[in-house]
Amino acid sequence: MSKRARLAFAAIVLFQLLFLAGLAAYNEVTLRTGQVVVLQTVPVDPRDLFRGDYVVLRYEISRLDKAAVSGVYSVSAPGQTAYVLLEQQGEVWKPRAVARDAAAQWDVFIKGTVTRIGDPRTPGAFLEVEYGIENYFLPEGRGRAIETAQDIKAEVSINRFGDAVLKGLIVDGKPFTPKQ
Amino acid sequence: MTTPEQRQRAVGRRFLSQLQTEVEGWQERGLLTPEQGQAILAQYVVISPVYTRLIVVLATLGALLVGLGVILFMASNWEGIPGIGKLALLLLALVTAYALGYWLKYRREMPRVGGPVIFLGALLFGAAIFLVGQQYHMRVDDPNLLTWWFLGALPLAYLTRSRAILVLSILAALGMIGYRANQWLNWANGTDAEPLAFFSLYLTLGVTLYSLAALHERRAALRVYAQPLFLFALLVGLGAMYLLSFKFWFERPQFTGPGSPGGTDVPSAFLLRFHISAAVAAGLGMAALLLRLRQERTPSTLPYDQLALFLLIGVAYYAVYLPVGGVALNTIAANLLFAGVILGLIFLGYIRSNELFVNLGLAFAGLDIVTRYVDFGWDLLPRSLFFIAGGLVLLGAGFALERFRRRLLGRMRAVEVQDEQEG
Repeated sequence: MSKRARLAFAAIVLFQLLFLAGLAAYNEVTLRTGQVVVLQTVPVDPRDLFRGDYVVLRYEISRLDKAAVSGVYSVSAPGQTAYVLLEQQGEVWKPRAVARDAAAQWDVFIKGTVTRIGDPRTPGAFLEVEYGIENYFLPEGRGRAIETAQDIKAEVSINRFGDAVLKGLIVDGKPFTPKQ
Repeated sequence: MTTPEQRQRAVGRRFLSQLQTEVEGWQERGLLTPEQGQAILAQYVVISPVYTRLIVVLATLGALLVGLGVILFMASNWEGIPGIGKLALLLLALVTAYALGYWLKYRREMPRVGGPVIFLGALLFGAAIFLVGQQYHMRVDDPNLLTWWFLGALPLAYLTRSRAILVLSILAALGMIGYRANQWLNWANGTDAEPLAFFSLYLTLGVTLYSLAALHERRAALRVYAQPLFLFALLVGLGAMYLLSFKFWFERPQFTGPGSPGGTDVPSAFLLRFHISAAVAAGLGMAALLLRLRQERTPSTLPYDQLALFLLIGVAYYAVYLPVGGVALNTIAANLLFAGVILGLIFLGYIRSNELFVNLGLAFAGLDIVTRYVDFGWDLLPRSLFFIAGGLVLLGAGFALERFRRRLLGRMRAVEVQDEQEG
């Protein structure tokens, strides 16, 4: 192997290492320094809820109704990035507005991808958005407690760009500990 | 201690016999003394192809097992390891695999063992991405994870001349596009993913891979990658055409192209990517075609296949945009086209002495025969007769295809030997 090829090999390995470290660091910084919000989950099909070693979650903010959230028409096509302004109401944070870009005066907002747009001609127009926090991993055999829960809330840490990391779950009012 | 210069290189019997002939020729012309000739030949040792393959198989299996073990260990003890410890373990495993692989392949000159260990490193890189993603509860179906794996592994495939890592990268890319395509199609207003559009996208991917393979085949330094690229091109392309040959896709009432009245359009998010994929396929196809036309043209090297690829891009557009003409006509056309491509592939394999083309062509021919028998026979024949006749059809088709394959490959090999003797 020539010297140039050796350097290229080292560069690729270094890139892979830095990439993994960067991926972990970005999420870790978001977890530690981001704004923590509590989001209400909504029931999903129980057959879909628990998939071996992770739970599928759906949130109140996954569906944004025209009647409750302003700016629903600003997003015109599925696949677009959407920013959702959140506002605290009691313990839980609720969606207030949605836009293609976060406004400068917005305090806490979360970034997502629009997956579905309801027919804008109907009164029930809506947007469906995914935020990348729809899976929660847990050790084998610990899914039962979540499957039988009445109420699940999620603690989510959001950084200043709107990227969110799932921090933990609150199951029937108590913080859920995956280990046991 | 043995230095790398003193160590004998393991080579195939064919290579050594060719070298021996060359060395004798050089000695006769006075370019080499007999001692120098002997010294050159002493650098090499013949290794049986069976033994070589056994080493590669064992080392690759070993790499896969170690990779699986590391992943299982990490996954099962994941909760018990503190955050930074998890990352440190992953990075350590990755560095160890690459360092050991490099040392074996390039320092100890044991490429058949070192290569699989570097492959293990590429596997661990992918596993590490998913494990870090899992640690932060990233979505399990996030296609970005596969994209990062593809981007990290592909340069390594070319740098270390590893076909296994290339295959891994292609699988990651195809998986990522599959996830994405499903999303783009599901982003319609309330419709399911459209299979015809999905298969058409994969047909353009097959065309892209085929043209890439053809371009790799033209350059000596890249020729080693041509065969795996051809393999995936044919599996993806023929697989898509096979799926397109079923009647029920054309019967689905919800399918309408963007121009058709009264139905849901194919989502624009998908169409945009489909156009990009088709443009890439056409661009690479054109590059491969021009390159072939510039080189020596004989009946066996004329680019029939490159021209056929443009027809397939047209077929992909037809399936997405204009499924006109009724269910029966579309189904017959799709089946005729599929059969035509299979026959063309076998013919091409024969005239170019490409065993992969012949074998895959015959495998898809067998699959097509069985599928069409089930398609048409299930409704028309009584069940008992269906199974008896089906069994006989299978036995007969299997026998005929295998006999045909052997005769064809035998004839191809005989032509090769004849060419060598004449050459």
